Amino acid sequence: MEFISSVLGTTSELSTAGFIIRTILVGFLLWAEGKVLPHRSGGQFAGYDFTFYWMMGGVTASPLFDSKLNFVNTITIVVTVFLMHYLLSYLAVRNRTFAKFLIGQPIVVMSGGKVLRQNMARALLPLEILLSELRVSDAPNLNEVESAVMETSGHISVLKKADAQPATPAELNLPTPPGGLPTILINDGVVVGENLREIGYDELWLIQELGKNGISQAEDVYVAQIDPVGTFYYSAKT
Amino acid sequence: MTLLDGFLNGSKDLPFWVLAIRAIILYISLIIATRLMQHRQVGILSGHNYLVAAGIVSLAAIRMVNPESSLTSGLVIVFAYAGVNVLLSYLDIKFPKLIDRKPVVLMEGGRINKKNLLDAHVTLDNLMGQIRLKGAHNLSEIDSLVLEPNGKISVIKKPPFLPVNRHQMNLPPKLAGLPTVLVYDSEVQKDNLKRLGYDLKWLNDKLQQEGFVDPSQVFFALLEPSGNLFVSAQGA
Repeated sequence: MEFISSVLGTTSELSTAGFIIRTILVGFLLWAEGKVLPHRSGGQFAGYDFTFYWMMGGVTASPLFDSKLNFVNTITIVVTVFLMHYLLSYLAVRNRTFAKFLIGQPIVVMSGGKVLRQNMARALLPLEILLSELRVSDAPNLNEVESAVMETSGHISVLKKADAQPATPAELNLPTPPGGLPTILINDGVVVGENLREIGYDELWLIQELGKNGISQAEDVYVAQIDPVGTFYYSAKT
Repeated sequence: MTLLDGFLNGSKDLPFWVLAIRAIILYISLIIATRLMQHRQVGILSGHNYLVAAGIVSLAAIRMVNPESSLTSGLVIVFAYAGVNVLLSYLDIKFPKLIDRKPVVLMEGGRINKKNLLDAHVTLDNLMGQIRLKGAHNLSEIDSLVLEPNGKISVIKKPPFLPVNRHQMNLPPKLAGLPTVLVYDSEVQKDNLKRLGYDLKWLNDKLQQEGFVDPSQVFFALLEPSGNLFVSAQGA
């Protein structure tokens, strides 16, 4: 009894075994948080996502830092910080003025091919970093850059001049098949029935399609996918 | 004896060099733990990965700076924590729906899904910024947008706005594939050579054509699927 309360609560001294049990409990917390955490925090779209992202990890692991830190406090803080992030996000998607205050605005650092010195200073951005980010974005040649924007996530987006962009079928007047997202039909041997019906096929069709490729049953397939044109892809388990 | 005891279990008056050694041990343990958690940890591919990333680092850091903390439990916790993370990653393979979040479709068929956008708490300004980063500046060129479980937004452009491919230009088929390393810092990669069905003599002949006497003059050599040999010389 005393051991349990020392694992969950504040104690000046905790054995290694006690810490292992705490680790497993933190594991459950990790799982629960991983399920409900907002996507945008992982994407680190803005400064407050960044803060949340790293703070949450530290707070979650805190019962392992020191035996004096207890679980009740940890969960309190986890819930508080989560609710704060939720509240701020909620306000931001509903009120653009608040969003601009919370998130800040992207800063244009190159426009019309010209590097904007003043905006570079506003973005606290040295030239070396701009050049480095341009190289990372496959635009090492300043001649080819139309505009560059320091985004709120801290990365630089690049728009190349039209002449430096790859030609597209639209410009060459080439016909294109319909595009869009492909659909997954088999996931690790299991047929995704709802996807199959959504695109107007059934299991029988799938078996026939696999048969054409010399496969007798869906269980032998690791992944199967169909694109909007109807081109079938599969990869067998072995 | 008391020094060893203080080293392992922590004590109030630990000499600074003992603290430094403890820090080195924790640092190395952290690197090993990261290797155990595999590349998906480094790439932070899902929710639990990022929580562990932030947690395990601060965990080791706090134990490093606190002379009173026990090194033994610090090390055990680092590895137990890594173990929990590996377990969650393993369960993610077994039960994909149970562990991680689902991707959210933000745009489909060229139409923004307002409900999903608001539910995911992504502002239109955020969305514009993220797709600019992906090089898709014009919304009319985009077919679909997906907010992935790791928080990245993936962009699927409409076919007329993708770069032209060989098929559309009616160009003859061409072999695409990964190049094979044949010489790595003057060392001939015999396994790779054998796998391709070549021998040392073939390689030496090839290198001589390029003006190298033998592999010791070569820093890096790659055989590309087109049959082209890339060679970079040793030396400055």
